[in-house]
Amino acid sequence: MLQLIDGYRTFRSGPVETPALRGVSVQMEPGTKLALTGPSGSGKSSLLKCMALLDQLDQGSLQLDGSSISHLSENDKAYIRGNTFGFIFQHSHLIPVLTLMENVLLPIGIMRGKLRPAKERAEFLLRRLGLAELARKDVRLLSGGQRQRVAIARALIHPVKYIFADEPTAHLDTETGRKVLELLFELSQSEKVAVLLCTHDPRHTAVMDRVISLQDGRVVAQRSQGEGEL
Amino acid sequence: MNHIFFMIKIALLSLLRRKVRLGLTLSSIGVSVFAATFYYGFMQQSYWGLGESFARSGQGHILIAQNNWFEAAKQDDHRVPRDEMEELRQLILEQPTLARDISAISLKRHFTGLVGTSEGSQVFVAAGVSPEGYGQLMGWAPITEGEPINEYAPYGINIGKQLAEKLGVQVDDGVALMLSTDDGRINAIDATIQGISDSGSRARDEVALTIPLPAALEALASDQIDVMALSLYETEATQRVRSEVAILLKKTGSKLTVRSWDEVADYYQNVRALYNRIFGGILMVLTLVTSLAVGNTVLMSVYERSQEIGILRAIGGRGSYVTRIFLWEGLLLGLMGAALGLIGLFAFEVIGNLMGGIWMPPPPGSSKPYPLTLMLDSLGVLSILGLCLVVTISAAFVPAFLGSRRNIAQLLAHACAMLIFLSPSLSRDAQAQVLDLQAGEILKKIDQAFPGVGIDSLLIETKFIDQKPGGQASTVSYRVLRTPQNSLVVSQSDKPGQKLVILLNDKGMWMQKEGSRQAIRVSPAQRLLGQASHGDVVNVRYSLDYEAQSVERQSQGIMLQLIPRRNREAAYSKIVLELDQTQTLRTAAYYALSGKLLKKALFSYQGYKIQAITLTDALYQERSTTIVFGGVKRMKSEAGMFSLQRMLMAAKLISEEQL
Repeated sequence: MLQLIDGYRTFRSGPVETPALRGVSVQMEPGTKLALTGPSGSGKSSLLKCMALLDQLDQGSLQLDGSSISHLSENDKAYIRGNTFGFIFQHSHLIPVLTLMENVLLPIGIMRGKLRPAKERAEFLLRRLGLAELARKDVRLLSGGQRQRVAIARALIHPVKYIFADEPTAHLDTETGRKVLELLFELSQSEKVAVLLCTHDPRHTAVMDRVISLQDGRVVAQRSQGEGEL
Repeated sequence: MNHIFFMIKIALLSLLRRKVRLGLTLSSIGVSVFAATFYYGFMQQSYWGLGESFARSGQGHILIAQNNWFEAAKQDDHRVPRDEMEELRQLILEQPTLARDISAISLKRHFTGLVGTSEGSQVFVAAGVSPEGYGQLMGWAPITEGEPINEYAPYGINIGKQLAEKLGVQVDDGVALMLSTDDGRINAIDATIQGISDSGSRARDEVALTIPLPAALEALASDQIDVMALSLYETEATQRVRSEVAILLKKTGSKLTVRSWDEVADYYQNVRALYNRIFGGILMVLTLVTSLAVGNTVLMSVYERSQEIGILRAIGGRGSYVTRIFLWEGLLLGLMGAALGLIGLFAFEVIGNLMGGIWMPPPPGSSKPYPLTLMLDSLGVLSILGLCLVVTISAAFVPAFLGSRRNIAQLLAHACAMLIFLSPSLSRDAQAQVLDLQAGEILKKIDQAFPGVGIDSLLIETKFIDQKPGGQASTVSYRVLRTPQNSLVVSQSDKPGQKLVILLNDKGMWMQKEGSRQAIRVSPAQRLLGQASHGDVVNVRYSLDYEAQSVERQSQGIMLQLIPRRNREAAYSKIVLELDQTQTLRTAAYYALSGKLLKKALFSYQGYKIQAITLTDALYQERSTTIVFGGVKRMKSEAGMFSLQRMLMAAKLISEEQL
């Protein structure tokens, strides 16, 4: 279980201090789907980045399976990000000089994993995501939706436990965005991976196990599936 | 190996992405390697030429003399009897390991005097030399006229070219030599000019005179020898022969000392020291140029690829992994640049040879031009290549190291993180401000500030307050049904027949008044003018249709961002956004494709949502229109509602909807 306890994060811009997180506590159980919603500037992305070890908390504790990981060394954090977490961002953030397949395999290369079994898994994921025929294609030639699907495959190439998705459909049209999310949820369910999704779109929250609503860096509402509208 | 494959591939292909920059950087490195290798080859050739000319122009490779003869100011007291030298010569020639390297052994006696004819006399500096070894000893001071001295002409002498000119003598002319004997008496002998030599050194050839040793000793009334000179087949064998002779002398208990030619060649040593210093200076400059070129290239690369660095780190890459990618870039730049430099050098040599060689003007003290040749040895070239790689890798290290250790969240946001690199003088607060300027994020934030964002089929109520010159104002309410592809605008007038319906779909824009039979098409040009254009401002998709650009800081915390269109969906060629300290959009200026300013908008907020937009048309500045957003609700819509045929029916439904 990934658990943030009483997390604080403040950004400083000149004399102005902008608190992004003010004592937020969130827990993410394995295999569940958790959505973060709220208006722009409410702290969704900051919370996701702090939980994903992409940013540093000013105060509070982040625990993975009961052990604190917020104060680990950068190398240890990198190890956890590489082996336990997967990421899908608004912009797919693919490496433009690599092919689609190489982008998917990149985490294996970085973590010095074995390429042969990873290739089989990559082919499986790309088949599931409808990209098998484009495996050798230059990622710069892909559409936005295809790029996001590549990002999903890359996030799942390792047997990760948690996927962090920061508004992955923000730059896609409604239909493409819907398909991308469907694929993400379908794969995460079959792989038993927990998903933390930042979104503005209320339609996306409908399929989540739990929805946390943020405003001004605080959790203002929470609901679990079946508890009705926020 | 996988991680190395990925690193090299990313490094190589990233370099190739920026071809012009790569070309310039490789040119800088190539020119540096060319220059360093060229100068090194020239220097080695000069050392070799100078050494050979020294050893083979009368000096000999190995010198054996009395202990103090080499240092003593007055060498007369430190000579060796000829018999002793002859014994030593015999002993050396009996050593098989020495004999195979030695081409000749000459005994030498130096003296000075006057050489004269009936017309006049000139000073000479003479060397009495065993005639049998003369050819080997003087190989680099060639006889240009006549013959070298030999044992068959006991009084035949060679003189320098300039000395012959001064005396006005030619080969076979007779001259008289006047000199002092060892015991101080004046003596004179007759000699014949057997040959005229040209060493290329004017100063030397003005006084040079060579005479067979027996004739010299006879004229000097002496049996004392200055030095024994060993000529070698290969100059490279000098140190080995020197060591063996030293051992031999020690073994025989001789008091004589052995020196190699370079130990007594002060001029050679001075030239070498000077050339080495110049080469060191050149290397420093080239190192600096290469470092700056590579450092700048990698710095730009690190800056441009902030997001890539961010993602590599996000998916598990350590800072050192990212650093190594850029070090690979440095290494590849070094290898490619060095190859370019060496190819250039090879081409230069080939072209030079085809042109019959490149000739250099005579050096100081010389009268002969000489061909420019480069002497390159593998160790020297490899050292230059090694230095090149060390420099390129080192130059890449600093930007790579700093870039790879930035905050991942900032890297992913592709903020102007690297501006901190470029402006280290920025205060921490200023740095934090720079990092806040996330161009793409700002556009997204603007889009999200519009009411009803994220709802696919939305009904929104708006008021258009038209402010006319003279203070008159009129207000019209509209209801807008909006989907991502279409919009239907219905004016809410109570007067019958005054209701106006505006349809915007993928085929264009139409207007129809209630009661009229036909809709009027609004052309794209009309859409950008007057009232019809106001709806376009509301429909601008800043983050989708416009390119996020870096933000320019103005005074008092105001920031400007110019966003050009990035696709055909964009109605305007560019928009200039003015943002306040919290990066909230305050005003925007919209420009036509022709570059002309069309209108300006002033944004008012309620919380973080846009509440009103006041638009001023550039052509009718005395008039302004304020769009005030009212209630928002989700409303089901069908594609048919946005067709020309059904637009009035749809308008009725919209008007009747409860908000």
